[in-house]
Amino acid sequence: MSQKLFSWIVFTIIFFICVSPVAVMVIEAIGKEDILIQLLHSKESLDSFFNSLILSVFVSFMTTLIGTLVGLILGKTNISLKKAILFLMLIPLLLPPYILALGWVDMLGVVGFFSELLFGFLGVSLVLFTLYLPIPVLFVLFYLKHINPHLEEAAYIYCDKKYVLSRVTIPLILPSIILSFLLVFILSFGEYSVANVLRYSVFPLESFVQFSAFYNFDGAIMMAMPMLLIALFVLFIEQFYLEKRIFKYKSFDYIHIFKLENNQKIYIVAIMIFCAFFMVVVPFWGLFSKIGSVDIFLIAFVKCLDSLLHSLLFASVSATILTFFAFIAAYIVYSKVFLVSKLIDMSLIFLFIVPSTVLGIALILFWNRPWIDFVYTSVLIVFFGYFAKYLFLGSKLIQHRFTQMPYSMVEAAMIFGADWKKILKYIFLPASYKVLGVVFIVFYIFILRENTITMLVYPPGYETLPVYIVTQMANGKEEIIAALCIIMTLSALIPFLLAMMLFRKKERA
Amino acid sequence: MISIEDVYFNHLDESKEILKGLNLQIKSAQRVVIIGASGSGKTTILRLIAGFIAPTKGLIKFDEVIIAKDAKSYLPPYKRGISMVFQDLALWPHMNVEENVAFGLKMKNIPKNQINEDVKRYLSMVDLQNYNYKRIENLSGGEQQRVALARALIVKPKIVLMDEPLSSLDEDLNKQLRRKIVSLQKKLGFSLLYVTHNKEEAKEIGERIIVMKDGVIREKVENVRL
Ligand SMILES: Nc1ncnc2c1ncn2[C@@H]1O[C@H](COP(=O)(O)OP(=O)(O)O)[C@@H](O)[C@H]1O
Ligand SMILES: [Mg+2]
Repeated sequence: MSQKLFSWIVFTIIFFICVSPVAVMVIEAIGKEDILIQLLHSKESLDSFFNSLILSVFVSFMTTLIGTLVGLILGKTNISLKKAILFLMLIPLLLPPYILALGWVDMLGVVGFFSELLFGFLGVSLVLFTLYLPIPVLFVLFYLKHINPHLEEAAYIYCDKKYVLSRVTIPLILPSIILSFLLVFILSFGEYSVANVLRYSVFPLESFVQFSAFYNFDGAIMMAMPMLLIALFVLFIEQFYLEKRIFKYKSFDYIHIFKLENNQKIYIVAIMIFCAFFMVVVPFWGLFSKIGSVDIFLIAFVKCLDSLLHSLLFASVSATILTFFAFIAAYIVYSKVFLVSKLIDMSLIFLFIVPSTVLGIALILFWNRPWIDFVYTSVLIVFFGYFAKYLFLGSKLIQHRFTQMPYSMVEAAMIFGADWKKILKYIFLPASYKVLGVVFIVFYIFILRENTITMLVYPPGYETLPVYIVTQMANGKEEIIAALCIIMTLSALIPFLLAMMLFRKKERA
Repeated sequence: MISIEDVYFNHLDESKEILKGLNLQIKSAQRVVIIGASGSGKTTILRLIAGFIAPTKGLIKFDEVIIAKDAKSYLPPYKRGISMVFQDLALWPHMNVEENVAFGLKMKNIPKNQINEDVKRYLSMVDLQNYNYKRIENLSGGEQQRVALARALIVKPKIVLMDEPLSSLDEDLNKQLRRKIVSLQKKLGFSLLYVTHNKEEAKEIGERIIVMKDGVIREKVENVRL
């Protein structure tokens, strides 16, 4: 089989399973504009739309601003405890978002001044800020690693470090700053589980309610359209503005470090640890103090055992299959096969940025029809959801690994007559073992924490732990819910920590 | 005059000594070439003089003033009156030719019209008239090389450090630019410390040639041809 044919088959699979449901949803929406107009005439929908808009602009602005600063401090200065600070900040992103919100509720209670602040714009902003802060930090750290240190030294000949930073370092990482702003914007626009806990009306929550409480399919479809438009807008900016401005990544022997005075270092570390503690550790303190005794923990464990097993099984099986597909997709995109590579790349980005509620509703509409409803009635639809949502992440990581390999390796193999399959098997695969491990863990954790798509599409009897916790929120006991959140946290953190230890050992070897 | 006295250097957490008791004087308006195999410590000498690193032991003086001594640097690069042309040129990709060249003057708060005049003069000095608004990535290797020269010289440095600046060019272009560098040095009168591993290049540029090996100076040659 030629590489071209193979690539088109892969694209067809991705398109059929994931993109066409969204396309079909758009087609179904045509001609029903009056429903949207009607919905937007209702005060709640309109309010929720503006709430969401203001919230996501605010959150993405704040995370990008502070995240860039934190990224520069972690990546460019000689402070100590960098790894610990980064790890602490990373924890929220590894968990279902509502856990932090529940932790804050347990911490502050449901009455009183602080509680009033929590239930509303400020509380939701704080939680989303904590949740998405690692995104700009990781982006900035990644790009800083790939700046040629000579570019900064060349400026240091003419000006002091402040100007080196503002005239050279920051402009060089600007595309990554814009990219993380857009990503946080789209993620916070689509996220509703935090707002749900903190009883703040946001747009995706409205559309979710239309769908699952009122069974108003048309209404839900129409409310998906504005979110889809925003996703398309972000995709457009990414493809036509940022793509060209992102300088080619290259690695260098060293990074130019801005040395700080000792007392400056102490202040900065103290402030960062204090903030990270406040944002991350305090809500967990709330959860723990709610639980109180080990018995409750055990009761919760027994209650959630089924869903926990579902979660672990789904996550490990899906992550394995996704890793395989991500490798294939990365290879096709990397190979730049005419048209189809671009199509796959764009499809994956698009699916990644489409809000999860939209994706979930689209999948149900598409797969719940005669002949193919075996998907809808089985766990396949859950898998398709994960496939659509996360394939992009893994594929990008693997592509990055590929671009760091000298292309002459491929050419040398071609001289000996290796075709694309052999090159894939003997050159790219062995060079990617480590990144495939990383990608597996990334998939595993993101699938484990997923609750939006799963909530919409899971067939009866197959609920996952994050979904089980949400169903408990309606009428379960607070202390049990808190214990469930801790179990959820452990099941995400333990594999993460194990993987980190494993990879570190390998690096040393 | 620069003088380097008994300088030792090794990188943090590396036991390997890169410079082992180096002594070197460079008189003002003199052209000195350092030649030596790759890894012999040539770039390290330039980075010490520029102030990106400080000697682990020993001292560096500019005109009898100590500017670095025993792991301490007393003067940051931008206060040393030096310029540098990097081996990979290090032109800023987010700025055009004019912005690259004007950067040093802008940082000194020189009035705008003065900057424009100087940029024009120095670009024509390196035969790049009307290249002001071109993007770096659209220039050829030789053109980028000359932008780097103009950027280094426009601030009227007392000392210019060049780290194998012509090593990526083909032979014709290399010869052409060597002459350019020598003529510019004679015209502007800065001290030049020039690193290369090409003997011919060394002979044509250097008034003094210094041969490095394993972190020490093997021989000093007064270049008789000049
Ligand atoms: N950042 C660094 N950390 C550790 N060793 C380094 C670093 N930079 C250079 N070296 C080592 O220092 C030695 C001298 O380097 P350098 O001065 O660049 O040599 P040259 O320019 O003559 O090729 C080399 O052996 C090199 O491997
Ligand atoms: Mg060198």
